[in-house]
Amino acid sequence: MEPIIQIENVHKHFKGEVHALRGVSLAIGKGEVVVIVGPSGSGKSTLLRCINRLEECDSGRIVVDNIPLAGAENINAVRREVGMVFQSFNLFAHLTALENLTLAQRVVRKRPPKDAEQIAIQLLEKVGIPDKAHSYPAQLSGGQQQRVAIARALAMNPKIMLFDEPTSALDPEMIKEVLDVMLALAKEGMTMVVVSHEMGFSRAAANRVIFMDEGVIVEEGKPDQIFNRPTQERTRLFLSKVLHH
Amino acid sequence: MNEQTSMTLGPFTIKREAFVVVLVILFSLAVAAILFTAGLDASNPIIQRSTTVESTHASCDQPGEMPCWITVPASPYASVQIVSALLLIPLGLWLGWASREGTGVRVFLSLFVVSLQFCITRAVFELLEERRLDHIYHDVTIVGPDNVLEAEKVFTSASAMAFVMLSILALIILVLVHLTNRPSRTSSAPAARLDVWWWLLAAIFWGVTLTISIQPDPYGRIMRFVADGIIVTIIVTFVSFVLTLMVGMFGGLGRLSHNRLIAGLTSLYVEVIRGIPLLVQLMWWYFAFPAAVQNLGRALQIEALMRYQANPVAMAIIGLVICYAAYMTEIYRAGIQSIPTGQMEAARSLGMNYFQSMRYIILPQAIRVILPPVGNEFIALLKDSSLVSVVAVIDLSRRGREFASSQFIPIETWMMVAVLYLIMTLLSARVVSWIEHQTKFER
Repeated sequence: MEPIIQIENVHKHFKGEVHALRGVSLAIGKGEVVVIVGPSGSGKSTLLRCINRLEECDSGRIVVDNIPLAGAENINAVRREVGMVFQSFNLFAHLTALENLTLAQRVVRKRPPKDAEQIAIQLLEKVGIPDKAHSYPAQLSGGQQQRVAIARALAMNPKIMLFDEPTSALDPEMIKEVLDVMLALAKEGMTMVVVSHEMGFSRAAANRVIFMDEGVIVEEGKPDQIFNRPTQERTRLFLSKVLHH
Repeated sequence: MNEQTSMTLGPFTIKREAFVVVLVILFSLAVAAILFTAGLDASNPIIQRSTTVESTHASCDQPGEMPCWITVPASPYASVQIVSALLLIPLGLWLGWASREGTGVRVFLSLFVVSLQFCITRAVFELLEERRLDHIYHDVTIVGPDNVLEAEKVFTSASAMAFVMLSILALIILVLVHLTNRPSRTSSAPAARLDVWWWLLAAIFWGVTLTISIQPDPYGRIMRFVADGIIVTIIVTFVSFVLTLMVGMFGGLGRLSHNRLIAGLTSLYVEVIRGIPLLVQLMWWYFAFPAAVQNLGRALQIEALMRYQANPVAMAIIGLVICYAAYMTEIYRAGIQSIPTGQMEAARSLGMNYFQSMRYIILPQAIRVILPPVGNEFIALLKDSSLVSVVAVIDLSRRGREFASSQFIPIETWMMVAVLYLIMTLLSARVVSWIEHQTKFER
């Protein structure tokens, strides 16, 4: 499989003290769904944020869709191809759901407002909340907000979707509605990098699960292998805490 | 059916747009009624009344030259007042009290229609009276100081002014009733009723208007004297404020800049300017700055700079803007910092660049946060604009000082000036809170 994201020996320090990533290398193929798990502070979110350069890595090389993330002029080109979904949704609070979806299409993709709106409505239907088009984020539940956030990222027609713990800020009963949307997306062949501890989603959708700890990739493999027969002690220890609580 | 777009006037339920139209029609009807009754013959026995004005004029003592007293034919004023009162007071009370609005609105509507009647009748008639009296006195040819006529004229124009002021008030309130009760664009919840503090403003405005029309001397005279000062105050305040908003925005962005030089320079600006009293800064700009330019001109032998003369208004505006923009910079900075970083990240992750993210995401949200302190600044600026009176700008305070010192009536003058400032600040405060209400996007 031809890789769409290539990460080579990436290091990242925060304020010169915390060594968040210690030489991470990873290649992700087109259409692949990769789930990253690991304890908090293991660098999984940092790695994800490095992919669309919300964080700048100190050394190493990241190439996304054949665009190296080095020059500043490339960043916006890369970001257009990479959609990102945040743990805290980060919907634009002053815009309605529909406006959240159309704004970047108009401003960045330069689509005519009518086309942008049509795309937005289709996407809201896809995530199951066309009736909330004119609601403000504060009027939506967490699950609905996250689905709007996914639709907002999709509206830019990204080739890659990054999910940074998309369900960890949600009430249990809302997790499913978000995972369903993600699952459907995975089935359509979207390239996805997901930081999440949702085992059900990983088993159903992931081609690969990566376990990270202390800034390095400890182990990777098929979901079944990582969850049931981990080879590393650290993975086993972590999974035992996550799976049996 | 739609609660927010309709309003009751008497037994009628009308759209708010229509409500304004109805009141305008009532206005016109009132004027028409008065004009019609004005046409009644003054010699009509029912309304005929004779007024005798005894002239205090010295020349009256010489018999044969001219009459010692002038008989002024009866004014139709009283009767028309009665006619229009009979027509409009019951109508006003009925329309007001029969409405299904809140008590405040009902009281307001009643008082409003009744005082419209009072003001229109009085103003229209006094204008007619003025012409009539002019005509009479013209025939008689009074020699020497014509005190009687002058007193009448002062009275007349003061009332006309009161009429204009009340009309402005009525218009403002109507527009606001209309606007504040419009259904909120953002939610289906019924829009809030008219902000109660409007009544304070209305009451004070009312008080001033009545004072002017009841006691045109000296209040009407003060009002006419300081009117151009009010305009200067408003212009200086508005121009300074708009410039302050713009300079402050760049200052705020500058303080948050990752570029150390820009951040350092803006911080230095804020720290220095905040530490110098505004009055001293205004003095500097008006007295020191032009002198400095002239010195520079002399040093460089540039004729134009040597003859440089400062424009007081321009210098006052520069002084106000530079001082207030320093405070505004801090307000903008705080507002931008109050927006969660996730908003910027989300915008950037969608491919927007820094300026697009600021323009579409951060600033629109920050502006809602900073509206209350910005409104505060506006009111403070309005009041501090009185300081420009010491640097040769003929604003409201300056005109007040001129009048008080030339007429020797400090109590009335300064009372009037204070109340005029109060009206302007109260109005600004209401407008600010109305804008705040309009820009809310979540409840």
